[in-house]
Amino acid sequence: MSKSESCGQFEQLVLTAILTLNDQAYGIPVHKKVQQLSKPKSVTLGAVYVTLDRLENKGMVSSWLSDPTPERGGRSKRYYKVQAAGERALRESAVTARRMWDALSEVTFGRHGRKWGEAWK
Amino acid sequence: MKPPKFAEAVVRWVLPPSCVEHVLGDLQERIQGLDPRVARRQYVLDALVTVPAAIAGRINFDLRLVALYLAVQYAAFAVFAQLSSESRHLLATPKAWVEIGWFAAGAVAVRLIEDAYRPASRLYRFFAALAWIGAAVWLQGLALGLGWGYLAYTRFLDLARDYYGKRFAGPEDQRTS
Repeated sequence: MSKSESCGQFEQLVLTAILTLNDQAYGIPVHKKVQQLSKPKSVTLGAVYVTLDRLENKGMVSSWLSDPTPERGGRSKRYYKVQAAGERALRESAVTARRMWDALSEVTFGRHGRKWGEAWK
Repeated sequence: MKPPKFAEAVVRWVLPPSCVEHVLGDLQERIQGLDPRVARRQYVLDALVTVPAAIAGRINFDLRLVALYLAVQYAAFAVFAQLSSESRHLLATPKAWVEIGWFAAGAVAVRLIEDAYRPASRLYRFFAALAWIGAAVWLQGLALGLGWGYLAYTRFLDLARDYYGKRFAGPEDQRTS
């Protein structure tokens, strides 16, 4: 069984953003997506860069530079793609979160007669 | 909308080469469609927040490696301080050890920041870290060798002085002593 590296909550958000953006995952859209996902917390672009670099060092994400584009002053975009290790780590985190959610909703279902988290909808 | 030239030049100068291209592009893309005055302010604010984080992201911060760097650097500074005849007695006080600690921490901080400006290749970074540890250990070994050599030399001089001093001391000297 291969040993998988775990990832923190913010890393999970960034991985999710890259996965959902598919082939449009570069700095600005990733930052916007992470901001959407982490509401009401605000997220800086710098924090996203740090996390992207860390994920790349862990081998969960790969990146490459695109051709220069005129709307960015002739500068390239750095695109990101989630690697197998990243997908595995994200899946494991999602399974754990799901288990936690089920356990919590079971407790609160019994106590309040409704599913936990409905108040946030 | 073009970014302010001065701010852009500073950002280009400060950023590690491996992330200049995309960070500058992203900062410029963020101000597209904004009022020029707002855009200028926004660019500077974004740069102030983003650039330190972009540099920090390039630093390969491994706590175990940092602890090893610190230990090696600390020992090297302590040995160098021991070599100096003026500061040798200072090492007996805790204050001197704290001062050496500051030097060691400074050296490690410089090493870590320097790491951000190296090429992104992991293999290159690995060998650079090895080279740094090797150099520190080598310097420490050299300092130890010199220190022991110096101590042996002074001990030899003392012994020689005692031996020849007694042997060549005349009857007058022996009487007076």
